[in-house]
Amino acid sequence: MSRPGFVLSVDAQTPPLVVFQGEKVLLERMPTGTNVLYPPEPLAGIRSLDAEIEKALNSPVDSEPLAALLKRGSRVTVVFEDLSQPVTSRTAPDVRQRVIEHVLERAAAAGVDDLELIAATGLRRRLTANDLQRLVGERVFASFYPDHLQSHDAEDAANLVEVGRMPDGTPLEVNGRVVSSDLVISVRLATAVGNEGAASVATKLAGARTSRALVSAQATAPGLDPFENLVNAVGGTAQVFTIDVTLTPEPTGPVTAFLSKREREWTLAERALSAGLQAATRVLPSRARLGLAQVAGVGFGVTSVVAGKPSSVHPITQSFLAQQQLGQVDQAADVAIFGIPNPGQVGTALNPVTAATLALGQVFHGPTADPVVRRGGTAIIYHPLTPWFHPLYHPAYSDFFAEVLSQSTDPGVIAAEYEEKFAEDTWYRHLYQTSYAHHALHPFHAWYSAAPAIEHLGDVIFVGGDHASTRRMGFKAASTLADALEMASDSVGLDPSITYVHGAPVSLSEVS
Amino acid sequence: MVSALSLRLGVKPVIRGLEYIAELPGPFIFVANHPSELDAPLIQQALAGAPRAGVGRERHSAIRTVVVGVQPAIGAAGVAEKLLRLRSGARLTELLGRGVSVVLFAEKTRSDDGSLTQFDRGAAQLGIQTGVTLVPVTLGGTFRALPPWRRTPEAGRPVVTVTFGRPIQIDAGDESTSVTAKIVKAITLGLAEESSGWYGALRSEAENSLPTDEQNSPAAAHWRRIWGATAPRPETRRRVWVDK
Repeated sequence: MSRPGFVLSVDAQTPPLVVFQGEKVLLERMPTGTNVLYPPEPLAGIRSLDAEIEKALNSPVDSEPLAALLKRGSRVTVVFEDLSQPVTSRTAPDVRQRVIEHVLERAAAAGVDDLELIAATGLRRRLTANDLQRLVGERVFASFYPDHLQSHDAEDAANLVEVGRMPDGTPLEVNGRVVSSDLVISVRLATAVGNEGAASVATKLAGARTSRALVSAQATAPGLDPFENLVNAVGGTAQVFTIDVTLTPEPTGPVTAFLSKREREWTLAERALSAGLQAATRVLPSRARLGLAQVAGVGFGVTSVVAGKPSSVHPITQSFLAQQQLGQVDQAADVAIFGIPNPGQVGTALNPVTAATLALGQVFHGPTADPVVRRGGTAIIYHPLTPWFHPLYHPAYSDFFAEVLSQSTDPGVIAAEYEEKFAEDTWYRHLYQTSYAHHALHPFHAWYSAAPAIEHLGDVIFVGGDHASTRRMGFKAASTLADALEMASDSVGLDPSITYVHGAPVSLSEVS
Repeated sequence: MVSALSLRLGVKPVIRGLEYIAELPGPFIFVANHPSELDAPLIQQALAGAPRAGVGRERHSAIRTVVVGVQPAIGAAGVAEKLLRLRSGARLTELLGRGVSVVLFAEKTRSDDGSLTQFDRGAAQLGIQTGVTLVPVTLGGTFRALPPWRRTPEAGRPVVTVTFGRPIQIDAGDESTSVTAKIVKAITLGLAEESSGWYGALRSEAENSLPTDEQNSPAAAHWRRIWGATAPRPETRRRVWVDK
């Protein structure tokens, strides 16, 4: 049992608290009376991962052991999470590689020759050869790339197969290789509740047309899941066997471990280190600070491995992840403060649209089961929102930011006027299929995912946010926390109740 | 003793499977094939860089190793070895008892053409006696990099591979012959990985058709075995121009 989370009430003796702001780490003095939510300390990672994987595969939940499901001459597809889930540096090679190697050893022994590996990228960018090698390791990569190891292609009409229809008549199209398989083995990773994804593996392997209809259908009827029938089997023959891995954030190096500790418990050396880090973030240019953020980042260890029938495994994973949450907050506050770091493993700055949607995702998928901020309250978020877009990955984001958000931020208007144009654009399609760009619909879906939070909140204020970026997205920018509270006073009064969510959020997940 | 730096300058080591032992407490008996003089320092260098799993105080300490070669040393070193009984089972048992891992080159004799020769059952016996986990290690490309007639490794930093197999736990009632067979199978699998890829080798192993390299086959002439073992690796460097 790890150390539980707790709520600290700030008084005159409380030291300045760690706040992440993009690639910077700040020490901020919070107003007296602020409630600081410290998440529970992460569970200790599993020490013998190999033994745990063996156990999960040999005695799965509601299923025969994997070795018995693999049959000579059968058609097997292994589906694994892409880079939207962190690379687990603490397990030496990534945990995906560790699990996949165990699976393949069993497949080889069973006599499986027709085997393919697919990265479940959804509408996210397809993985480069380097990315794939990093995830599955050199041995698997060399054995299967490029013909039998690839990313899902949501635009490859020739390889999408219809497996059903949605209520509005849109066909449910899923990756053809998966549908034609005898066994689909899905390797899933999750860090927190709300981050474990849909129960069905098919959602991340759907065609672009289906994904588009699915998101708009869920917007009109929340909770609707047309993939409900595709959880344990995809299409007629493909049985699904899932291997769910839960992750825990662990400090990557002892040097920066103190950032996740409670400030009162810092030793003298850690205070000195923090002062050094402060000085470095002030002096270094922004590109160099990106490297610093990676040093200060968190690694990920593995806390559980459960395998078996997806409909039985999914609830187990979910309840396991829920243990990591702080639980219920007594009362939703008027103002919630969040610090958003740039996730270290991405290795690039976040573009402003992704940063804003990730930050707003914390309102509903934060450390507590209920939102920490009341309806109509204010969210104060620390992030620079630098208007920078990756030239390779974000062409559609860049145009979405420049052309769409400058005209409207209302999801209804955006969906009606721009979605079709982006979805049909052959240039974006070309970049998605051949140049590792996110799909043209990805920024739209990201923006829609933030809509409930924007609607829930009265004001969204970015401390240190780029003025033009924040304005364009319909938010406000403040240079200091005091300014932000002053700006919020219009809607929440001069003496609001404040909650600060301490530390780096663990559920920074992108939409699929 | 070859220093870490000179080894790095001479060859480009590719190390696989270290994660299998990172999570186990040790000590281990590493059993390896021995095609070249590079082997012992290579294994020790690989183990020096092994990440050790564990949390907090339970973190495993680094792996300390002692290497025991195939043949007794010659000259003064050989006399000292004999007098101090450095190669005796009792000494190795005592070392393992102190938590020091042992690297054994367990072939009965060393071939002069890089091929695998018959394995001695001593390594398996030591494992059975002490209950210590055995780890098969396959060394690939070291014969090509430093054959017996060269004093320095081949120019151009040739790639050498150190492949750690899945650890073999000793169960009660295990026979030394069956354990030795497991070791040989794991090392042969590692060698096959070079030619048929990881999955290809696993498949061949399952079908009992592991490709014995031509140079390994005792039927082939001596010169052909050397010829095969020293053949240059296929070009793996990324090239800008694609041949049509």
